Amino acid sequence: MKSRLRNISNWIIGAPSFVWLVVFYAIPIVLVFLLAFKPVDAYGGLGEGWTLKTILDLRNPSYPAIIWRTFWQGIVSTAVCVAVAIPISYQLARMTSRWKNVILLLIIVPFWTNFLVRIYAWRVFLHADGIFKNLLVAIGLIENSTTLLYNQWAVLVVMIYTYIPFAVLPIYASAEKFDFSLIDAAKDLGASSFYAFRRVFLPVISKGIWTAVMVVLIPAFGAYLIPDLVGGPSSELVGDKIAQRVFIDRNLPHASALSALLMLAVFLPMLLGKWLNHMRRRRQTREGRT
Amino acid sequence: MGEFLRFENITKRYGQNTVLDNVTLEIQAGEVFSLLGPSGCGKTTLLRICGGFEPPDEGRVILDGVDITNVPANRRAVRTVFQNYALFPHLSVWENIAFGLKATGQDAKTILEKVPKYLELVQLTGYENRKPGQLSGGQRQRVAIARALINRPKVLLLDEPLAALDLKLRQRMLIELDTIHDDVGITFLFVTHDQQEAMSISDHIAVLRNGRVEQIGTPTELYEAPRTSFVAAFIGDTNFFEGTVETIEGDYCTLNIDGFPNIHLFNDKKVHRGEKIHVSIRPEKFFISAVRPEVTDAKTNLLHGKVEEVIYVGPHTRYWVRVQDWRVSVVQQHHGYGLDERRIKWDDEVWLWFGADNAYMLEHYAEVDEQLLALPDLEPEELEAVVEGGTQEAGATE
Repeated sequence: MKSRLRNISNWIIGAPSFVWLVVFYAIPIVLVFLLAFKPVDAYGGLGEGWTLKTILDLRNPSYPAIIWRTFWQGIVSTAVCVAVAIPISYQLARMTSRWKNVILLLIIVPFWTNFLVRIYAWRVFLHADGIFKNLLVAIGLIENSTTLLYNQWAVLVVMIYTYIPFAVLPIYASAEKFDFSLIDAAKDLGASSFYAFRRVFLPVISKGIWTAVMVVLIPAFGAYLIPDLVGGPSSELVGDKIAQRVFIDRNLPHASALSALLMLAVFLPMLLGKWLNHMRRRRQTREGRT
Repeated sequence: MGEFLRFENITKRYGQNTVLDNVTLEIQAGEVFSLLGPSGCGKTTLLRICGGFEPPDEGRVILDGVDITNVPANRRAVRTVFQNYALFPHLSVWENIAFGLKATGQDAKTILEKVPKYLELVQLTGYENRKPGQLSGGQRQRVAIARALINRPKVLLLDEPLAALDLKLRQRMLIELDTIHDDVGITFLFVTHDQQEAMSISDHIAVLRNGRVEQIGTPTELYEAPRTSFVAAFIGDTNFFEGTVETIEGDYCTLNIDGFPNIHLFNDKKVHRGEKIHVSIRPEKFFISAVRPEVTDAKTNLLHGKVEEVIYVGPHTRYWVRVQDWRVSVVQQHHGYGLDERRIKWDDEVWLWFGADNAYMLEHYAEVDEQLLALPDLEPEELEAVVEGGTQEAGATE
């Protein structure tokens, strides 16, 4: 009787969040998937009935290159962000709390300025008459005719710049809980500093690393403002295409189909990874019993 | 086998605090050597210097004839069992134990051969696939010991290895540690604040206080012949008396202890007439009786007092007896049921006596701060504060 009461009260407490998640996350996601199967009418609205035409339209010959670019840019920027965030977090976790707070603040401060303003700052910075460009020309590293802006490298650099804090925070949260006497223990057992870092520090904070990967990879796949503002026509990403389909072509089903594709591209590998991990663990416990 | 590990004039400072002050120790091959002292005495710092985790400011560490002061931790033939065990949480028991072999690049065959042997040594066969989080405290400690021993170090450092265990388990692990030590024959350097632990496992003990060596000796030497009041009070219970030497008769002397003019003592410190000295007498060295004993031997000292407190603890009874200005702690072992002819109760008038050979003259006496002895284990930051307080306290008494 008592446990049933507790059950009911748990439901009541959980209900608002549950309703929120269903109404604002689950239903819209299902809608996005469903929209991909709707025909489009001449005025940018949705037509009657269902069609597979939009899905077939995804075979647009310009798409593979864009999808490929979205993937490698997303993966490269994630890899760079995580690779930079790990040593930063390692050092942060070892610092005294006063310095730690200062550095953390410095990492978070950019969030206080508007995202758009920061991207425009990069535009000024990399501009054909900007300081950075002039500096590189002065040193003789590049020629005056080289453009730093409006190409995929500019997009990559700004993406990495934008997402590094997102990678630092979860990794730092894990590293902060890391027991550094484990590094002493590893060295005591004859491990080099690098071996201890690779075989003890990294595996122990792996949860934070995977969170960072997710937190960076997902927005990186969907990025459209950055390629829109610092990229050129040759550096479009799937995000740009989705925005174009919505705002310019007014073709919601097509945009939905692209979004769904992106979503599946993130979701399926994640599920696969989970499943593999699960199977591995099951195998381990079975071996453990014998 | 001779001297094996040598700490030579080790000094270590943290800012203003001198944690280790010119410490010199010699440890024999194959023995269990304990560093014993209250929190903040520098014992853990000395261990960390030996393990290579911290460099000394001055002095050298010599292992088996080689100066290893500047050899990094991972190149020393020294392994540590950490106080919190520091097991790798992401690795299984097997992988934890194999870690040292893998890290030093040994082949798979050696690993397959050695790990089961060490699992057996610490009685963990069958637990290979457990993670540290699935083990009890005692099991975790055994993993830590196997992990440290598998590379056959020359010295095994044990940093308060039993502190995290409960009393019963501690006693069992102590016996187990002793057995493992007999099995592997590796030199153990054991750090503890628990005098009983140190007494029961060690061949030699160094008592440290405020970064200095107070006394080095076998457990018996430290217990029966403490050099200073600190050692006497830190290892076991004791009674201190202050007196003036009155007469010298051969190897013996008589002492005037506050109203007891004729206390006979063995004069091992070769004191002179008129000298003021302090004496330590262990509680169990006293005999107690409600009936006045027949004392014929001149070397037996007889005192008369009144019982203030009686604490019966099974194997023995502890009495607090008021003898004029002194409150004397007396312990009497029960050798048989009903042996005490007359039970001694509160406020009884009693007779105490002890032999002249059973009191021990101290070289150095200072008020022993009971609180310092009772300090719990502290974190390094807290420890620094204690060290600071400790040195001030020492400065005040000296």
